Amino acid sequence: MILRPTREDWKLIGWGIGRVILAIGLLMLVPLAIALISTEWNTVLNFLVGIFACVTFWLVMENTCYVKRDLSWFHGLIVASLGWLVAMAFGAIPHFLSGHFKSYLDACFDLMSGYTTTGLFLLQDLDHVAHGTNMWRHLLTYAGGQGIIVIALTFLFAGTAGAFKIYASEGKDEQLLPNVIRTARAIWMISLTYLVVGSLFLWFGLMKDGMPVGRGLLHSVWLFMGAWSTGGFAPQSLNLLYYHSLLIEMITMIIFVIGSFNFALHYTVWTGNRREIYRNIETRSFAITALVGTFMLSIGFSKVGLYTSLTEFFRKGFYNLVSGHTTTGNSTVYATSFFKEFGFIALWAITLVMAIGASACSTGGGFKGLRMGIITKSLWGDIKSIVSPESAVVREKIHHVKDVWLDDALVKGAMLIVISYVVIYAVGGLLGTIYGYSPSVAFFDSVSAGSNTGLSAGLTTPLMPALLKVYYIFEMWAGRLEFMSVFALVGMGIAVVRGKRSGRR
Amino acid sequence: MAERDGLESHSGAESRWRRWAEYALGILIESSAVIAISLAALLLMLLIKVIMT
Amino acid sequence: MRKTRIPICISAMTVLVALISLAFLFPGNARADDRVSIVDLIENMKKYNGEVVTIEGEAIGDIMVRGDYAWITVNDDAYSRKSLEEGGEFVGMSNAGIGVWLPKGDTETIGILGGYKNKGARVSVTGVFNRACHEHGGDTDIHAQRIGLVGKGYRFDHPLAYGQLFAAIALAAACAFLWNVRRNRMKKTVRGE
Repeated sequence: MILRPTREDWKLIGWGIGRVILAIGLLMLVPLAIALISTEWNTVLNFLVGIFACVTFWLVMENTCYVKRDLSWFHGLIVASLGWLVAMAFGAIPHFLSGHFKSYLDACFDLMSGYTTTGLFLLQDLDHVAHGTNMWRHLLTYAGGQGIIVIALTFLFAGTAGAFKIYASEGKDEQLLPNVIRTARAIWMISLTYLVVGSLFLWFGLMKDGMPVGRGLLHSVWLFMGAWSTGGFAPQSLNLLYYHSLLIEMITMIIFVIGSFNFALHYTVWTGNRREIYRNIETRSFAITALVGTFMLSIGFSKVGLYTSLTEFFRKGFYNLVSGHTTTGNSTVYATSFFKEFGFIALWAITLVMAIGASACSTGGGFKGLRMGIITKSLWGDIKSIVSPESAVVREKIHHVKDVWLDDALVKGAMLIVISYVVIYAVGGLLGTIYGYSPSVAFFDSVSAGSNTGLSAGLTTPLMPALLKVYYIFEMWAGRLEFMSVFALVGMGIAVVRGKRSGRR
Repeated sequence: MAERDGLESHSGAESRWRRWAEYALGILIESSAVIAISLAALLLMLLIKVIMT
Repeated sequence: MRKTRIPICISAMTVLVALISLAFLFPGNARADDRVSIVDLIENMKKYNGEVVTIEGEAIGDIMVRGDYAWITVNDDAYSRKSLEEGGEFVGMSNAGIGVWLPKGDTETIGILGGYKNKGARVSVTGVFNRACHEHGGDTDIHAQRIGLVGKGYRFDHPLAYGQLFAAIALAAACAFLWNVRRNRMKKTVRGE
């Protein structure tokens, strides 16, 4: 029997979302500061409007949705899924006010793309955008990567049991430490340390390559945020091609691959268990699929014959392949080049690695290396059972921080999610093809959206059909939340429509 | 690791240095992993280039 | 009459030839007929690969000096003529630009580069287009042979956005009011317990 949500349930959800929106408003203080320092007065006003709108919403929720009860799992799931959508709407305010978006839908698209660390964008005239606006774009991916929810957890839910429920529903199901608040803070510690180290390296690299000191600093922080979060945003329209620098490409590549690792892996390696780096199934899975992708891409490149030297294979091939595999989206070529210059084989090599994606509990998207590992091992186990004597019991295990035995429930769960990804990729690809785009381009961009990668073969532009924009927003959102929260929302919808009143108020 | 209380477990100046050293080592190890994979890929690409020409 | 016509013809021809030659003597200000748009280049890389092309657009971002040479980025989209910050119309894209590799000395004429507050210098670049430049790791770029200043860059003002100002004030007032409501409610709750 499905129970219809009560008014109290709605209040709890509203209250939770209010806190998430407050976190968004507080985040906006950073671009506000940058705009002030850069004397971009209209941008300052845009962010003030955004901040006050967020705070107003939070206060309305606080005043109307105050409930003494605690959040349950169910509420946590709904806050996580709805919270992203509401955060998208509010975060889009300063973007839309900047005047670089043809419609509010376009601004929302960029917000969802930022939070989910996708990196596709509909912003126009990026090369003339204010520093404050660029700061917001990149900060969104950095914060989104940590999960807006984790931010809210860290700073606003201190001590409440409701915190864990929101966090787990956010798609990060690792528990680094017994206390969820501490886990969130540990994630921040790792991210902030890398932020300082990574930005410094980039800053020096950029200055060596001829960027002025001040702009170099801004770009270094932005490039770091875009790479670490595996978002793929960069401050100029040409993305990484703007810098024409092997050094910057190497640094950003190291940053985004590390950024694509599972946070549990970071924590384990940082606290003394160094061997984990090569024992972990996700690192192994990633290494294997990256090399298979490289193999496929190299064959493609060799056949086309456009790129000839090893350096070119590395800077145009491997870089973009790994950018796709980690679901980052930083690129060193024009969007149309993926389709026109790379050739069919290389293009599909990148599409496939994007689909597979990065590690679980990271900023990456796609099937996740963990599921690839689980499914592969389970298939291997099945093959072994077939050739073993009937009475033999075959069990497989994987190593992910600790050894985990594969059971049917685990494998079934992994397969369900992989199938869900394949479905959203395929629907997007078909939609694009129906709209007249070349199938390779349509599938490339659809997989890019669903896996939160952000590379584009040219389909994603402000002129794309509105229905595709909406579908891609859905893909980015569902892909990032790994469907769990989406299923919860669907379940909630069913409960609202068909549930029985429970009698309590 | 039961006594460990997150990444801020140590106290005192000496253990703070140790903590930062561990972070640095962590960064080094993770970067090395990436470089190792890249080198393997470079080798693979070289091999294919040579075979296919 | 006939006797004067021939000298007039010859003079006219001479002047014409002289004028045409002048056009070649001042390449910086000349707008060559083989001017292409950057979008054209990117969509038809094979066709233009290795050809000498001329582009004209706004120099944006940064001049990155590397030894004796430097990189600049030139955009020639609609926003390079009138950016969104200057009040331009939406055209459905971000920007169309390309990296230009040129001798360091040639960058001195450029001056102001395009951005939020600046209209960048408008330059005309003639050079070899590379679909996958072997000197630069496969980058799509132009190695400039000639660069000329078509129009100087300048800083422009942003008129204050009064709409946003009023909205900010109104929302701030709403916040103040709601904060008060919240404070009173919290006081009541404490007293009630």
